[in-house]
Parts: sequence; C-alpha cells; structure tokens
Amino acid sequence: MSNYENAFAPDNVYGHALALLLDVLPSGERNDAAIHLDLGCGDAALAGPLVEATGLTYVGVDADGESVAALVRRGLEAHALALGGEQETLEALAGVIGGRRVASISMLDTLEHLYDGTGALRAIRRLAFDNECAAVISVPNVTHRDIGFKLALGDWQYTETGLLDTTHTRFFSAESLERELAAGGLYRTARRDVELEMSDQHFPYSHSALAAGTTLHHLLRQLRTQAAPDENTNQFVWAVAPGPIGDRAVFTAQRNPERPFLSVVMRTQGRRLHCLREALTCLAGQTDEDFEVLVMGHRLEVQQQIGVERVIEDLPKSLRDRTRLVKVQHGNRVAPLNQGFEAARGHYIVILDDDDIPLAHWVETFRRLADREPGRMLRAVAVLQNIDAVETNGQGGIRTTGGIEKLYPSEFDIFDHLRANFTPNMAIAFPRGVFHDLGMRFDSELTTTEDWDFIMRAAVVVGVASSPEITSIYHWWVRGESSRTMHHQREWDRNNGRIVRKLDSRALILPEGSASRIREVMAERDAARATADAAERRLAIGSGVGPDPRNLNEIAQILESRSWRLSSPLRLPAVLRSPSRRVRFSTYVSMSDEDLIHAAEELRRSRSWRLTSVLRRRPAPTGGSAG
Amino acid sequence: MARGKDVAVGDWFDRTPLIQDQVPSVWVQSVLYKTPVRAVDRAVEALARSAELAVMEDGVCKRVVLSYGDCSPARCLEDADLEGLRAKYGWIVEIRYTWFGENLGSARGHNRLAKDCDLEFMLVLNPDIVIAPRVIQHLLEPFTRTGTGMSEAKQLPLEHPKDYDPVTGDTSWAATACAMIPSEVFRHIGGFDEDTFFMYCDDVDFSWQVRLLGLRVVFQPNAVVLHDKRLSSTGGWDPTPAERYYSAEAALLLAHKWSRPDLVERILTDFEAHGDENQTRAARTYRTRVAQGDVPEPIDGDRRVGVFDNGYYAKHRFEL
Repeated sequence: MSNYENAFAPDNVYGHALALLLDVLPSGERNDAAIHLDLGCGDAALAGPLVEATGLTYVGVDADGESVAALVRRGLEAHALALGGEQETLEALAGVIGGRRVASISMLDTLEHLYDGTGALRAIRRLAFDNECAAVISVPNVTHRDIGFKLALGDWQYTETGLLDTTHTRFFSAESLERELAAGGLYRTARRDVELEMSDQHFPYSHSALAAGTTLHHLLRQLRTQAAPDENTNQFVWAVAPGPIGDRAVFTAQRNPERPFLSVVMRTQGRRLHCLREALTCLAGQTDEDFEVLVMGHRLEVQQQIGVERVIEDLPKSLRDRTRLVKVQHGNRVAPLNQGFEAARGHYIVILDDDDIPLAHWVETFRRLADREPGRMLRAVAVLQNIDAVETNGQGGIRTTGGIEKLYPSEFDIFDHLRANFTPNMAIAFPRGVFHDLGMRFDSELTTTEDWDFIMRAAVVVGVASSPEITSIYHWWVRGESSRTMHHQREWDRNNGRIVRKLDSRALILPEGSASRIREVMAERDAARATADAAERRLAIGSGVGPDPRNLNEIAQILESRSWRLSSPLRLPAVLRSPSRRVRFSTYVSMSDEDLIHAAEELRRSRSWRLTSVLRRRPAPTGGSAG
Repeated sequence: MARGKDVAVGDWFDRTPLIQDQVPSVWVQSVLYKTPVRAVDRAVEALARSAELAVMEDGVCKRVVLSYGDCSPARCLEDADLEGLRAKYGWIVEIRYTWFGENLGSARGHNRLAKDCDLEFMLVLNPDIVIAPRVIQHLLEPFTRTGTGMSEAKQLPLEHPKDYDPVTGDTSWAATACAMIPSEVFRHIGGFDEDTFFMYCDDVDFSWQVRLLGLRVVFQPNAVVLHDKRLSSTGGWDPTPAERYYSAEAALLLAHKWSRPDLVERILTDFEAHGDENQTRAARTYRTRVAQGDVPEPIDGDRRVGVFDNGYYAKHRFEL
C-alpha cells in the first residue's frame, strides 16, 4: 500500500488542484465523455470531488501496483504505469487513454519522485497540446522556512512523507520548478499554492530557530520574509500550459558569473550636464578600472535624454563600453536607485549622484576594503565642499566656493548612525547580496534620507568595513534646487520617524565591541542624570545662590541642538586625546552666571559650531541630490 | 631657450584673436617622472578621445601631436609600451617620446620638448592627468576672442582656490597642469624660466609674463580634467618634504623676480625664524644663489602684473 494516504480537503493540495482545474476547465468540457488523467494518483484522493465537480471520467495512473489494485477494487479506473522518458510515457499513456478525449491532467506531488521528470513533463506537454487541455502540477517547496532555518543550523532530517520525503529525487524552489517546467515545455498560467505556517518539518517544537517567540526566529524570519517569497508555501500548485521546450541546462545555476568589482549607479535628471561630465571624468581617471556605470536618467525629457546620451557618447571608449543609460520614467528619487541596483552586475554597488566627485582612488579604496572584509558594506570618507553654478564665456560650469570641510567621521559608528546619517551615499558601497539575496529595497515611501534608511537596514545585517581614506567630495549647492531645498523640515522629520520606527521593529545584529560601547553610553547617561538631578535640586531650593536658569538654558539649547549633536564626530579626536575635554551639561550646572555667559560664547566660537552653521539654516546634509 | 625681448604691449594685443579663420593644430607635451605605464595609457586614451572629437567631429583642430619627455632615471615607457600606445591611439594622436636620462625638472623638461614644437598651439599637460572629452576645444575657444594669451583647465577633484572672473574667466595665473599656450607666445617669452624655477612657480611666472604682454590668462571652468590629488585623513593637504622645499624656494625666487624685495625679506625672516627644516634649507639656498648672482633680474618694477596675496599668487576664494 502507498505511504500517501491523504484525504481530499479544500485547503490541501487536492482542494487547491481541483479549484485550479475548475478555474481553467471550460464548462463545455465537463462531461463523462472526456477523461481526467491523474498521473501519480496514489490513493486517488482527487477522484471523488473531481468527478462530482466536473462530471469527467477519472483515470488514475501510478507506478505502485498495490495502490492501483486498491483503486480498481474501489471501482475506479486505474492503471499501473511508471512515468519515464517522453516517448515511452506517451506510448504507455496512449494505451491508457484508448482514444478518449483528455480534458484535464494532474500530476500532484509526483515530479519530485521521478528520475526523469523532464521526460514526464514533455509527455504532459504533448498531451496537453494535442488535447488542448488544462494541466495542474504540484511539488513540495524545499525553501519552506522550517527547512531553511533548521538547515542554517546544520539540521537536515528526512521523514517518511512530507517536504523531505526519503524517496524524493529532486527538491524544488519556485525558481527551480519554473526552470524544470520550461525544460519540459510547460509554463505556469495560474497558481494556488498551499500555505502552511508550520509544515511537517516544524519539529522539534522548541527548536530555537523555529519557535515563534525566540529572538533568533524573529531575526531569521524578518530576513527570510524580505529575501524571497514562498517562506510559508508547503506545496506549489500550478496550472500549466504547453509552450516551447527550453534548454535543459537552465535547471542548474551558474556558480560564479563574471562580474565587475563595482557598479556605479548614477542618478541624473539631465539638467546639469556639466556636473555629469565632471563626475564621469573622475570615473575615467580611476586607478582601479574594474567597474561599470549605470547612468539612471530619471524622468528625462527628450532634449535632456539627448544631452545625457551625448555626454556618454563622448567618453573614452574603455569607459563608454562600461557605461549604459537606463531610463526611469516613474517614481520619486528612490525609483532610479532600485532600478539601478536591480540592473547592476557588480559584486558591490555604490551610488554616485551626478554632482558629486570621486577621487582617483575611490574604487581602489573600496577594493582594498572588500579584500580585507569581504561581504561587508565598504565605507570610506566623503568631505563636503560648497559649490555654485557659473556661466563663464557663455558656458555653464561649476565653481567651488568654499574649502574642504571634513564633517563626517573617519570610521563608521553604528550607534552614531542610529541617530543620523554621517555617510553620504557615494562614500559607501553595498555588497550586491544586500539587494539581490537579502531582497532589501530602497523605501519608495521616503522622499528624503532614503540612503540612511538603506544603509542602516543593511549595516545591522552585514556590517561595515571602514577606511579613514577620503575618497569623495560631496558637493553642497549654495544656491539653487537640491533635495534639501525641495523638502520641508516636516517632511524630513516624518521620514526620519519612519526610519526609526522601522529599525525599532527589527532585531538588530550589532558589531563586535558593542556591549562595551552600550555600557559606556549607559554609564554616561546615568552620570549625566545624577548631575542634572543634583542641579535641579539646588535650583529648587531657591536659596538665591546659583546661576540664572536662563543662562543654563542657553547652554542646554546649544548642547541639545541638532547641529551640535551632528557635529560630535568633529570633537571626537580632541576628546580621545583628552577625555576631560568632553563637553557635558553637568560641567556647567555649578558655574556662575558670568562663567555661563562666557561658556556659551566659547561654545558658539568653537570650530564644530561654526562649521555646522549651515545645518542651523537648513536640514542636515544627509541625502544626495540628483541634478 | 632664448628669452624674448621687450615688445610693446599693444603689438601682441593687436595680433589677437589668435584663432580666426584658420583651424589650428595642437602640440601636447608632458614631462614624465616615474609615471606608471597604466596611468600614461589612461591619460593618452582620454587625450585621444578629446582629439578625435576636436578633429573629426567638431573640426576645431587639424592635428594633435603628443610629445613625452622622460626625466626618470629609467625609462617609463619601453619600446613595447610605445608600440602599444601607438597601436591604440596613433591613428588620431602622433606620439613621440624622448628619454632625457636626467631629472631636468618641469620647466627645463618642457622647454626641451617645446624646441621641437612646430604647431600653432601647445597644450602643457601633466602626464597623469585625464582630460574630459571636450577639453581641447574648450581650451582653444578663448583664443577666438581678442586678447587671450593662455587658457587653463579646471582641475578635479580639488579645484584650485585662486579667484577668477566668473563671467570672463580672467585670472592672475594659470596652472600648467593643463594649460593651452599659443606657440609663438611661448617662444616669444622664451618658455619657462628654467634657470630660476625647478619645480614650482614656473607656471605662475610664465602666466605673468603672458600678462606683461598685455594678454589675458583665462580660466575655463567647463574644461575639466582629473588630476590625481589626495587628501590627508583630516581633509587637509599634506605636501611631501620635497614639495615643501621646492615651493618655499620658488616663493622666494618669484618674489625676487617680480620686484618684491619687501616680501623676500619677510619670507626669509619667517623661514629662518619659524620655518621647518625644508623652509630653512630653502632660505639658505636662496641666500647662496643671491651671493653667487644666480638670481634673475627683477621685472615688473611698477607691479602691474605680479600678485602676492597672503602667500598666494592670486586672490584666493577660500583656503584649501
């Protein structure tokens, strides 16, 4: 007897298969003059409901003689037949069909048991083609979350039946099933997959990766959900139709396709072609040339497109051959990023907006980081420089109007980045797997700071390798339109709130050394609270001795300001040299009014306060601007 | 190289614009010093594309010749390298190469190369510079206007902070990392002052000589080139000891030549009292040269042209 004694139920593979058949089977076909061919029929769980719903004559086929004999005893038509090569299967099935019209075919949870599945699929294709009939195929999903989570921890357990049945000869994901079907000349037209939150592989019950309450499960699940579909799918149940036979070799994946080291995704709106020329000239002079360039023309009008094409056409051949224009006619500023990352072929992907400037060792530095810490995000340093547009002798150009400002820290610090972005997008390259394997996308709901959001989501999974090397210049327009001028403060705040909420919804993986960092920060917080409490108590006593609260408040406003907090990396080297130079509110609470006024002036004269004056006039320089 | 004699300012001005009906040819010259072959290849490829666009597409240039002079102790380019370059780019740029066998310095090296220049314009170019595709026409374009004597490209990633007129491009001096010079102006001036300047300020001095003729030095912000310059990890500029020495020496010599004895004294005092090792050495060298009479005769006595502004040779828009 068969091991597979499963009854029909509307929510199992038989119910889903029947529903699909009813969807695709024309009502004129539903009579007993035509047959339904059920290949690998087992106990014929489909038979009764199918006959009742369609009126077709049920014909079961199975390799197991005992099962077939049992079906015959139940009064069903059934034939013992092993599915094999296309021709022999067709010949054997011709005898079974006996000249009757085939209205529909099913092959449920059978393909994975066959040694020559392609032959059986091609036979189905031929029958479906000759009879113009519908076919439904199902297979178990080996990418179900339960299997994957256990396998990630080295656990792989066959069972008598189910997803890891010992008699399976091949395992299928949705993608490999599609390839296998194509090799057999069949193509999916509809699907009604069976979803199971807990599959038959959900054991042992308290497995740390499987149990829904564990942090590990939460972490794995958020990654799995984002990375690929079908995490809950127990069986793929697909209606298929015949088509051209694909190459059988497509079933196997190419292990290491040839890729450039880096893909440069360059947003442009074609409005400032001289900026694009400058950036591309800097790419032409890179000391490491193993990169491609995707110029993402966003919402280009015809004249702008012609201009961008002209700029690309002008490039030296070796760079021109590695550069392509990809037009993106939809979406906000996030759309060209997602499309560019999708099209990128490089092992790593970096964004370069058309008004920013890479130094000649930009790619080379990323390469060194990748060699040192493969697979992490690669972070070097960008400096900021003010620019303005000029028209000299009738020709447009860019004029720098200020010196180099090193506002961004030399090392990537995950804790600082939880509060704000200190990494302009051209200073960080993403491993392609973040997008292509983990399924992360730039959030199209964000109208600003989309780069910060993406950096953070990726950083807490893959980590960041840092180099203190300055490799790019982030250009800051002193006039004209850019992302910071196009969006209101409320919009920036709303976007920041969304990013923080997303981070809060996740389990984060923190880098090595984080425990000590957190302890240090908590200790500082406790000390600050204690000092502040003591100061408040003194002020509350109201003895008439002590500073005017307004003077203290002024200090507090500076120290709590966004620009002071954002500029903390600028003060870091001095603090590291001399920890006593760390500026804390507690330092001021016992000062006299005169000292407080002087201290406020000192703070305003400090380098970091002056350098960040721009931030108090406009939003923080966190997002790139596309020209 | 023979140095030019005084010519009335109006003579040169009246000869401009230097490009009128004729289509000029361009002689490009670079002085190599331990330059890697791959860097040379990148630079030549970019130049060849610019030449192709200028000659074949826009018709603003008739012919381009590239002449390398190699000051390295051993050849930067072997015959096979040259063959490779000529095979790839020779169809649009004629490539010549001379190994000098000694380190002549920038000024002397360029003067040596310029002796063979028989074309209307010279593009003086650092060997590691990658030019943008339309740089040749952008640098020739100012010569279609009256009064232009020299044009300069904008260097990336770090644009020089010297000021220029944003409308006309007029500026105090042009860096010869990438600058276009009419050959007859070059010859008239007598080339770079190789006897005075070894490595720095030869271009400042040359530019001021151009302006002494009454001609304009024009900065072209749309003619962009990549000059591989790096920043220190603090965002500053870290010159090498050699760069510090030669720039200190050049500062003294330039102030002397351009009739600023007051500045010479001030710089000497500063170097000798507060300078680092390189600056004190430069001060010693200068004094020795003065004692030996090995300094040029001061010019621009009425200070019409030379600009000395807080240690710079032009007003600067910002500190780099």
